Amino acid sequence: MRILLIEDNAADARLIKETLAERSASEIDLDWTDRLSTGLLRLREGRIDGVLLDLSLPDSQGTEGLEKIQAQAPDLAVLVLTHLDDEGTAIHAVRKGAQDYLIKGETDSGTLTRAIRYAIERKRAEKAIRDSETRLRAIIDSALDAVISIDAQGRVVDWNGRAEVMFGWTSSEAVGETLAELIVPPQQRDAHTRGLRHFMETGQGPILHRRIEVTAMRRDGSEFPAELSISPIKQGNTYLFNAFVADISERKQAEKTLVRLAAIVESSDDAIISTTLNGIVKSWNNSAERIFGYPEVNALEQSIHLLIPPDHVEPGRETLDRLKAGECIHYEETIRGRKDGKDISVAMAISPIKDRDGTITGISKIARDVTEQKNLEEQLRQSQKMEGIGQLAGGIAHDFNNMLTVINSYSDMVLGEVGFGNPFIRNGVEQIREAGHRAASLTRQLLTFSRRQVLDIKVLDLNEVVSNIAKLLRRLIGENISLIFCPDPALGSLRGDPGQLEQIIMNLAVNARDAMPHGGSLTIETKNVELDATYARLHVAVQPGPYVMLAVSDTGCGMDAETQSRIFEPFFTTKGPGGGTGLGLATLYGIVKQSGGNIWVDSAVGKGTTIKVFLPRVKEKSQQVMPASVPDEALRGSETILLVEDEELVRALTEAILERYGYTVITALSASDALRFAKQSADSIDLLLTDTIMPDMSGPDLARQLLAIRPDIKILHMSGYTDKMITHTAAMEPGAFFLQKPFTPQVLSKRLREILHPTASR
Amino acid sequence: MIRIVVIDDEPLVRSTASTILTREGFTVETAEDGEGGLALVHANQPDAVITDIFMPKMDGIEIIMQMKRRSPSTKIIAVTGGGQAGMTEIASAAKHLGADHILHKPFNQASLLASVNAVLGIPPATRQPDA
Repeated sequence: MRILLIEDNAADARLIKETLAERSASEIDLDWTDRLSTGLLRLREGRIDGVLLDLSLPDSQGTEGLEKIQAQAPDLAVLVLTHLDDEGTAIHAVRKGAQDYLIKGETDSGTLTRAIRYAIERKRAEKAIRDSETRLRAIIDSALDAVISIDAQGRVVDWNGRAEVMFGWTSSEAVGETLAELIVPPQQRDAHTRGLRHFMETGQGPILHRRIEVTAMRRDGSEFPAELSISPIKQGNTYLFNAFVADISERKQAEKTLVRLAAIVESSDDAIISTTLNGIVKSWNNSAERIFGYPEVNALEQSIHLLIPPDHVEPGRETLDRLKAGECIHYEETIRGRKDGKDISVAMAISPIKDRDGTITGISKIARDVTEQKNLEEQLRQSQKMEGIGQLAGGIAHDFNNMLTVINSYSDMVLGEVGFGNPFIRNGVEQIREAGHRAASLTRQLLTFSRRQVLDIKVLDLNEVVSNIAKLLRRLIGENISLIFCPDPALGSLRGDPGQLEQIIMNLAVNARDAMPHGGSLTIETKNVELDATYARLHVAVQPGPYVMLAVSDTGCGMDAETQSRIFEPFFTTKGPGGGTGLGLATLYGIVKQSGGNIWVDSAVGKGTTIKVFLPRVKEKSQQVMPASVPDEALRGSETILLVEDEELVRALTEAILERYGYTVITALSASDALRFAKQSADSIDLLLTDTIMPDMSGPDLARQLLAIRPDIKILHMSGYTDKMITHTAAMEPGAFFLQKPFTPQVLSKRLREILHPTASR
Repeated sequence: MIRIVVIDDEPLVRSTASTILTREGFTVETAEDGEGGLALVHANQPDAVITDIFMPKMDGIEIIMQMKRRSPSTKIIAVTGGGQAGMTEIASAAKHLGADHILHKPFNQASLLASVNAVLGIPPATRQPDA
C-alpha cells in the first residue's frame, strides 16, 4: 500500500513516518508532502491507495482539502489527522466522506496501520457496491421490458425508462403512486388489489413467478395486451414486488394473423398441402383429407407420390427443377388417386414456398376436385349430342313418313289389283309392303326417340304396369333367368303412356336377357324417390322433386364406359346382325325425356347393369283400369293352339293371352318350325294362329301345307294390314279366318271361341 | 258426289292421297300450300279437307282456324308427319281447334280411307271374310 501524507508540520510528519515504520515497514510505503496543492499533483501521478490529510494546512483549512481530493479522486480512501482539541472538525470530515480520523500523538503504530488498512478496504467495498448498483441500474434502464417495483401497499417504488415509454408516465410521476391506478384497467383493479392482499396474508400468489398475459392500460386510457412476470422480494418483515412487463401487441397481432391464415387453409374447399423439396408431406388440410381420403395422420411425413396413380406418368424430375427455379406450375386437369383406389380429376397449382430471404424451402400444392364438374360437362356433352341426334332423327323421320306414305299406299293398291297369275309380281309387291311397314315402325321409334311422338298420357300405377306384363316378361327372358320384382307398396302415380311404358320395360328386359346368355337374375324394382337440389346440381337437366323410380338390374356381362356413353343413340347396338335394331334404348330415352324424366345407367364390365328410370311423381290416383283378374268364363277355352309368329314381342304377348284364357300353346318362331312340329309330334292341334307375312313362308302357304298333313285344323290369320286386302286377294284357304292386329285379349279370345265352338258363341 | 281437298307441300303425298281417294269414287282437288288450299275450299265448299299440319308459309293450324270461320261444315282431317319440334303440342292444338280427325303419317290406303269414312259418317266396308 502506498499512502500519501499531506502534513505541513515536519515533526508530525516524521512522527507518523516513524510510527508506521515501527510495525509495517514492508507493508506501507509513505509519500510525504506539506501542501495540498503538491499533494493533489502527486495524486495525479497515481499509484496512491490512500491519503492521510492534515486538516490544517497553509493552503487549505478544515474539510476544504478533503473535498478537493474527493473531487479529484473519488475512489480514494482519505483519513484525516487532527489535534485532540479539534475532534469536532474531524467528525465533520468523516460525515463529508472521510473514512476515519486519527488524533495526532494519540495513535500508536498498530492502531494507525489497522486504521489505514480498514479505510482502504472499506473504500474499495463501497466502490464495488456503487459500481454494481450503477450496472444494475443501467441494465434496468436499458431493459426492453418495463421493470416496475411496488411495495406491499402497491405503491410504485421503482419505474424504469422502458416503463416510462410503455405507459406514458415518467419515473418521477409514477414513483409513490398506487400502481393499479396507473396501469391496471379499471375493471381489473379489484382483482389486482385482492391478489396483493391475499399474498400478504397467506404468502401465496398463484400468478407469481411465471409469465401471465394481462391487459394493461396506458396513460391515455388505451389498453394493450401485456405479458407480465412478478417476483416478490422479501425485505425484512415486508415485501417488494418486482414486475417485468412486455408489450405483446405485435406478437398478438402476429398470432392472430397466423390463426387467420390457418383458418383460411383449414376451411378452404381446395386441398392445400405443403411438402419438402423431396416431396414429404408437411401439412395437410381438411379438404385434402376429404378430396384424397387420407386422414392427416396418415398423410403427414409420407411421400406426395402417394396420390399419383400407379399407371399415371408425370414428369417428376423436370417439374421439380422448374419449381426449384421459382416457377409455378398449373395443371388444368390431371389425375390423382384417392385412398379408396378411385381416380379423381383435379385442377392443381404447384408453387415453391419461399422464406423471407427468398430461399425455396418447400412446395405447396393446391388442388381442386373437378371430378363433379367433369362429370357434368360430360353429361352436358351427352345431352347435347342426344339433342342433336334427336333433331336429325326427327328430320329424317318426317321425310321418311312422306315417302313411306307413298310406298305403303301404292303397295296396298297394287296388291288389290294384281291377281295370282303372276306370283313374282305379287310376291315382290308383298315384300315391298312388308319393308314399308317395317320402315314405318322404325320411323315411329325414331320419332319417339326425338320426342316427337304423340303420347297417350294417363295417370298410371307403375306397379300395375309391371304386374300386367310380368307373365310376358317371364316368357321373354326364358327359363334360366329368374325374374325378381320388388315393388314399393306405397308407390306414387306417374303420368305416362301405358303402352310406351310397357314397351320401355320390355326393351329393358330383353336387353338384360341378352346380357345374360348363361342365365342370371333380372330384378325390377319400383320406388318413390326424391331427387333433391344436390342431385339436380350433379345431373344435367334434372329438376328436383318427387319421382317414381323404375330400376331394372341384371347380373350380366355389363358395359364399358364407351358403350355406356352411346347406348341411347339410335341404331347403336352391341348385338350382332339381326340381333336388334338399336332403337330400343333410344325409344326409352325419348319416352322418358318427353315425360320429364331421366335415366341413369350404372354398369361395369362383368358387374352387371342397372338402368334406373326416374319419372315425375304426381298426386292424382291412377286412372288405369285394372284388367279383369279373372277372364270372362264364356271366353275361356282349353284347346291346343299352334302359334306361329316371328316377331318376338307379339309372340310372347299372344302366348301370354292364350295361356291366360286356358289354352295350351305350342309356339313356333317360323313357318318351317311349325310344319316340322306338326309332322313330328303326335299331339293334337286344334287351331293354327299365324302371322300372314313371315320371312320363310306366307301365312296362307303355311296353312295350305299344314292342312295337307292335318286337315282338321282350324286356321286364324293375324295381320297388321287390312283384312280387305287379304280377303280380296283370295289368298286365304276356304274356312280360314282373319284377325286384325293389334288386338285386345278380349277380341282374340272372342274370335277363338267363335271359330272353335261356333254354336256356343253365337 | 263427295268432294275432298288435299293440301300437302309434298307432291308425292298429294298424288298418292288423290289416287287412293279417286279410286274409291271421291272427287279430289289438291293444293300445295295453305293459300291455294283455302281458295279451293272457299270456292268449292268440299265435304272434307285433308291437310298437312306442317307446311311452309301457312301451316295447318292457320288453315283450320280460317276454315272454321268460313267453311264450318267442311270436315277436317289434320295430317301429322312427325319430326318437328313442338309437334305433339301442335297435334293436340289442331284437335282442340276443331280438326275432326288426326291422321298420322305414314298413312296407307286403309288408314286414309278409315279416317275419311269416319269424318263423313260412311259405314266401313264389311270386314267379315267370305267364309
